[in-house]
Amino acid sequence: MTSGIVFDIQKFALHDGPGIRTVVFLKGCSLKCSWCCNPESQSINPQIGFMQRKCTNCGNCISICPSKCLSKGDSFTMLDFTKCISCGLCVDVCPSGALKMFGYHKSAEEVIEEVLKDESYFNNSNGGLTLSGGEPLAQINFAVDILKLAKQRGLNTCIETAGNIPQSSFEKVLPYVDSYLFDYKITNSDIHKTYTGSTNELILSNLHYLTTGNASIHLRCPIITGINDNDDHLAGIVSISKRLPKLKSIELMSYHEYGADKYLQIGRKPFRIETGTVLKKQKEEWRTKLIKMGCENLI
Amino acid sequence: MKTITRRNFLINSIKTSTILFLSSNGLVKLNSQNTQNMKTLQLASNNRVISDPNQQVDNLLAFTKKYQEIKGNNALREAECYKIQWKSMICNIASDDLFVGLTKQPAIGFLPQSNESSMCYYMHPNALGKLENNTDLKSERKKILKEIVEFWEKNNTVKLAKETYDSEMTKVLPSDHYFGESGIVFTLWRMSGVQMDYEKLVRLGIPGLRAEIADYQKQVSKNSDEYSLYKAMLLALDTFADVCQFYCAQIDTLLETETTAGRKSDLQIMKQILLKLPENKPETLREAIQLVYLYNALDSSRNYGRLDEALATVYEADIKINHINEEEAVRLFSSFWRLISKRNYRYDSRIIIGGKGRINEAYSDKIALLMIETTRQVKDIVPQLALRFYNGQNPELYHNALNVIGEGNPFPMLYNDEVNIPSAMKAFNIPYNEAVHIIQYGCGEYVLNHRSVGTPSAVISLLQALIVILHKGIDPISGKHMGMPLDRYSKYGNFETYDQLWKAYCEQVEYHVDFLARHEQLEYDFAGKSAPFLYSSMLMDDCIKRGKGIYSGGIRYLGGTLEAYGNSNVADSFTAIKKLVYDERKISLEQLVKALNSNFTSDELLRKMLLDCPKYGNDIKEADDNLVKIHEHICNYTKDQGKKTNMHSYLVVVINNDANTLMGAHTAASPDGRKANTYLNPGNAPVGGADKNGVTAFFNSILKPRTEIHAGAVQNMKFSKELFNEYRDQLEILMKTFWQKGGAQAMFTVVGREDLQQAMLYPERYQNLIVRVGGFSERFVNLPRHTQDEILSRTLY
Repeated sequence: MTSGIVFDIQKFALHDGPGIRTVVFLKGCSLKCSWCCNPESQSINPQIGFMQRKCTNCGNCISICPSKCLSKGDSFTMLDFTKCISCGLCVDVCPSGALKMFGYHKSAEEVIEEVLKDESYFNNSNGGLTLSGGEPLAQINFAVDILKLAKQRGLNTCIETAGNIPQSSFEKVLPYVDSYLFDYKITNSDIHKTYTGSTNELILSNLHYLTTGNASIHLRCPIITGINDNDDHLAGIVSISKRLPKLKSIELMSYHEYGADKYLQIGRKPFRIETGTVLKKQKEEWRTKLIKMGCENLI
Repeated sequence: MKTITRRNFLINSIKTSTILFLSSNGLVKLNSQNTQNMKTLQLASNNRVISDPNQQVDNLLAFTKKYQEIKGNNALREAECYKIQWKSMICNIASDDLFVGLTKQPAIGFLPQSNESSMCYYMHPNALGKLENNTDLKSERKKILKEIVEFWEKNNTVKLAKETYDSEMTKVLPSDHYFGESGIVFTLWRMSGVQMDYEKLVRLGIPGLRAEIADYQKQVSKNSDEYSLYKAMLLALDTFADVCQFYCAQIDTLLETETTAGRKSDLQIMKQILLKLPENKPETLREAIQLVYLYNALDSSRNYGRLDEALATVYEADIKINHINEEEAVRLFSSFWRLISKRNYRYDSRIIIGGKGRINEAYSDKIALLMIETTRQVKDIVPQLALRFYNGQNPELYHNALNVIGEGNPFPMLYNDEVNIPSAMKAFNIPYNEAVHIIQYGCGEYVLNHRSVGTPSAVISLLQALIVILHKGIDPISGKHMGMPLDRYSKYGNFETYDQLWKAYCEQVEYHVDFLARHEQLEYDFAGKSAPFLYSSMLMDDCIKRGKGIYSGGIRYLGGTLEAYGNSNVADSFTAIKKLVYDERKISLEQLVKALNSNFTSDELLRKMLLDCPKYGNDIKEADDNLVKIHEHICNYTKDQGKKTNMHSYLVVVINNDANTLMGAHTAASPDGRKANTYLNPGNAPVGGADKNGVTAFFNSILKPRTEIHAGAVQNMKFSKELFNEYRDQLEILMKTFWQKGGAQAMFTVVGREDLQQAMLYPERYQNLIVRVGGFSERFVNLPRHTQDEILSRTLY
């Protein structure tokens, strides 16, 4: 039985598939989207997180660090992320919780055991397990084992995927997945590469592949002001909605900056756009436009 | 005119919109022209009728003399004393009152539960102090007052009861002051929680009640105690008539100067009702409400029982003759609600609606819906409306309750008959047809409607019990020995094993419960020996039938209860100790105690290690099992000790008031990571902020402790307004699952944005708040301040 790296388990989730669900976030992603709200999910390995504002500058971590990446600062400890080997020894001695590890090992059985605790809520709501991340299928063997076990135990399963993985990975999970929440980010492949690190041909091909199966597919479209809220991409969404009538729904995921602080915690610069988190009003305008353009199944 | 205090003024200015003016020191400016207005003003203030301190002393003197005069007949004594006492209790009618009967407690008197933690024949030292210092009190009255106080200091019921303690009990139960000092146990002196038979009161009315008593009186010998009791009961009903008469006269005075037509009409109706009630049973909703409120006031009861059932039949009659409509009913209930609020019993004032076992369910449901609507409109902290529900009940009651809760009201509280009735059968060892009458009062204690009592006579801090064990018998706050005798520690060595520590804790708890069970019986016995509590007895089964006062053998089920606090803190402490001290051996017990003694300042890392240990409330077996163990231990041991007394039951209650904060303020740091002088956990809840795994995990945890081994718990739960209202379907599924899995009750707080400010100030208490955006992983309290601000201002979640 495999184990893998999980970075969060969120219960009573209402936005990640039908009904009441437990979302298991797996670490690792083959994309590096600029607007990513879970930047701590991109690397597949456990990694240190440092919340500067909680640091009391006690210095416990400095002496215990084997790589000497910690040093005393004026009001808080300084952390050199380039030297960090993610051993986690500093986390154990931090009295304020400023240091934490993103990502921890769990076996597939342990994951399912945790998920099954809420079985009664799933049963009453047609809910179940959702795998998310990162890209949950980046840890393909781990994901397959979790999903297999889930099915053995009668759970409804859902995957939130960006689709940028080999088709063979989808083939492996196909028998065990009831629904997909599939990201569609940018229509133009070159622009797609600029903002996510990869072109989109494989993603689209996988989307088509999945529609040949029996699972429900829900298209999730992140819209970021100034990046993909243009007519070209909106037309691309409309086009897909018509080409793939099997899609159960298409949903806009408007950009938010709630994850910005997490970039700082892992030593990266946060992505920001001038207009910031998208307002409800703006999102409504995009929706209205899409409907006018003939988009099918938009929710 | 200093008798009108600033506080009363402001209250009435807000509530009655009377145009008054305040001088700079907050008192009314008087001039000769508005003396007449002053009379109206004074009457409109809801102050006591007898406001002059000299008259108050006269009344206290008369009461004391009557008490001294009547010997050998407690029933007659109570009735005759009460004939004097009521005059110092009643308050003037305010201009927004549609009913009469607001009362306040006199400084000396007879009550089942007094404001200054006393009962039966009591005195209020604080109130007496104020009276003594009142500058309007004439010097000869001062002298008289002194003598009265001297007498009652020696003769109040609690004092006399405490004199019967043996020396061991005096040592183990030294204090009532749970709010002011450290301790493992504190006694409570009150006969609380009487939930009377209001259905019978409304059905029979005063004359019907008289007739029933008279019937029983004929069957007993004139020399018997039973006869004396019945005679006194009839005198108590005469007093009811006297009070009605008094208020009729006050209404006449008010009518002399009342100019508003609407108010005049209301006053006239009020008078008609008061003329009618002594001699006739109520025939309209309005008459019934007046009867209930006034009778309850004379009993000085603090809860109102199953009022939907009590009022159903008169309401049905009222509606059918088109005498009343729903709008008028809500207007009447609103005034009733305000009058309940004015009595200021914020830990009580329960009204139970819904549930199995009600007479005339169809109209009981209609009343229930009207009461839910009234609560929605009036929005006050009392009455505490509690909705019982069962599978198959008219769904409108539950549905409307959720809507009212969703607006941000803490009421109605929800009680699940499907769990509570079978639990009551087991806990109280009673058949179904008795268990169906299970209701709550006060802070959440369970009793059987008008057939049982269950007053808590003590509080126990389980956490303090553990803390003293860790300090080998010394209270770290006072530095003195506390709890079980020191020679009992030797068999536990230095707590080399976890088992030894656990057993020592158990022995500490059991040592105290042994005394507490006896003490509870002692309180009941003494109360019973002091008085029959006439008003309560007339409406509690089976007092009239047996010819005995409620605590003198009359009540069908004499139940006692014990309030336990700190359960979750203890459970989490044991989890942490087992893991860090005994399993992983990361710290020693000595290190732990040293850190506790410094309130963790000497070892903050140790505190973090303790806080990071698994906690109850997260659906983690290791932690939840410990809570269950603590729960089973205190509940089962208490239940068993009850069997050694004459009580029908003696059970733990795990409830919610401010005792957990007050006791926590005098409790040292604890091994769950709790800092010194901070609150203990409330009710059956996880320690504040310890549940971090979401609402389903929280539910799964709180469902683990058994409900059928205690007499009531409280289950507070917080939701955001958005979740509660905009995801109502999912919320209903969540709650449905909770009820199905054995959830007994739910007390909701639904928070809006303004309350979310609290999450920013006290993040440790709001770990469960997640940002409801798909695919996003983070908790609200981990976000930087500016992001939190942004979410609060833009996003609903």
